[in-house]
Amino acid sequence: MSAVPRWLLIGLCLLRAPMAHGQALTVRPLQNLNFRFLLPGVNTTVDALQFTQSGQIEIKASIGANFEIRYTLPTALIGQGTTIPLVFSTTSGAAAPSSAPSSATRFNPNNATRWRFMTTNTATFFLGGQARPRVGQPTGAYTAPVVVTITNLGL
Amino acid sequence: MPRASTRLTAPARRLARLCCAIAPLIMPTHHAVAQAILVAPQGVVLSNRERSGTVELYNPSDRAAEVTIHAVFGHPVTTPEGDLTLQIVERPDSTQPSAAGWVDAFPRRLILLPNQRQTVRLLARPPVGLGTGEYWARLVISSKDAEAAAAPSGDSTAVSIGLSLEVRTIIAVNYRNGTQQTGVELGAMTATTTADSVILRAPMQRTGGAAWIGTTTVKLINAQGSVIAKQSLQTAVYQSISPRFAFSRLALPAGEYRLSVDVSTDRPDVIQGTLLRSPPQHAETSVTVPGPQN
Repeated sequence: MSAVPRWLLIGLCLLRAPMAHGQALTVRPLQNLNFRFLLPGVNTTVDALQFTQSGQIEIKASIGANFEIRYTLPTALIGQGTTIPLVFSTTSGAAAPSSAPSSATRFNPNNATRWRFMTTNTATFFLGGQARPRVGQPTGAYTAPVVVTITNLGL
Repeated sequence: MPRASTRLTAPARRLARLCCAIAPLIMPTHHAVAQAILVAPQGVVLSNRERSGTVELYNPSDRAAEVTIHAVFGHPVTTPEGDLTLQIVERPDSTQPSAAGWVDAFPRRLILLPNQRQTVRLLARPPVGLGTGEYWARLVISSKDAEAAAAPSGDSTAVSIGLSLEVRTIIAVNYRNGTQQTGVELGAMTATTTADSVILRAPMQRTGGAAWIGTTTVKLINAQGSVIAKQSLQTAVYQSISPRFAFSRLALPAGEYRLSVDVSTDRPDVIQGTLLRSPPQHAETSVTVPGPQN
């Protein structure tokens, strides 16, 4: 079969594909982890439950769904040919069945954590951390990626 | 105005000098609210009769999202502690029922503008001579802010910090070649107590050729037959799992308790036409909750 008819066949298959139905998963990052002002040589810690500075992600799914949430965290910010170390401790993560940190439970964001939507269809995940700029840290831009992977374990 | 009234004290002068010295070195951090993404459904079933399917993406935020899609092979398993986790096999061998190499998404890379919807079409192109059975893949849908600069631009006299966020949503794709059946067998359950919990392990083994998708309901029942606590877990058994269920025992009087487990293929969250049914199963075990002195 030549390439053109084969791709035509694929196109026809795709066109008649049924539309998706079923429960949706919505992931909404509310804010990034924000260290505000750093002083050279001074470690700066943001607690997971510091509401205005912690990284926050809201997940909406159906009641009864159970998910694995896995953070892939950087060990350092990179820029100016050097780094600023970042540390995430065993209590740098927190999760709550709402956006209120008062009901949150701590977890270690260096390991995968699980969440079961039992009474609400919304959960908020909080991330804190510590930046460790050294004395004489060069000025300029520093960046690092944070990856959050969310998997429905019931499918 | 007397000069003395505006003169700083010695400690205040030292503080002011320190502030002036470090002001250029104070490092503001870059802060941006990221994009969001909605993915539906969370599981897609294809077959030799219907080789194509769709996934809907929606960006409900006010920022554009850059989305990429690729397939991997994996399925839920349990850790030795009984926690469910997704096991991804980077290079599945020929003995594993992987569909990751021949399920394609169209498009695989896209920009979702604010409030934009996009249908992603899936197409299975299985190899010739594929054996009867169910083949599995996971679709990794990665989303990041399309508007974020690669690095915060900078004021060369300060240090700016930017943490970029990428969200990966993983959904299931199952391809059924031929008519498939499924079932689940409950193994020998164990119930134990810890200082604060009653722990149940419920081993489950899939029977039939396709993954078992259903619900597990566990009840903690006292000697009078009253249900003290109940948990439900949306469950997927691709090969075998042994999930752990924990109930708080802090308010439980000492005594004998039963733990009953029911598994059924009732899953209102799954597209009903794709759900494989199997007979419900029931099993029980018992546990003794010791008194506070134990």
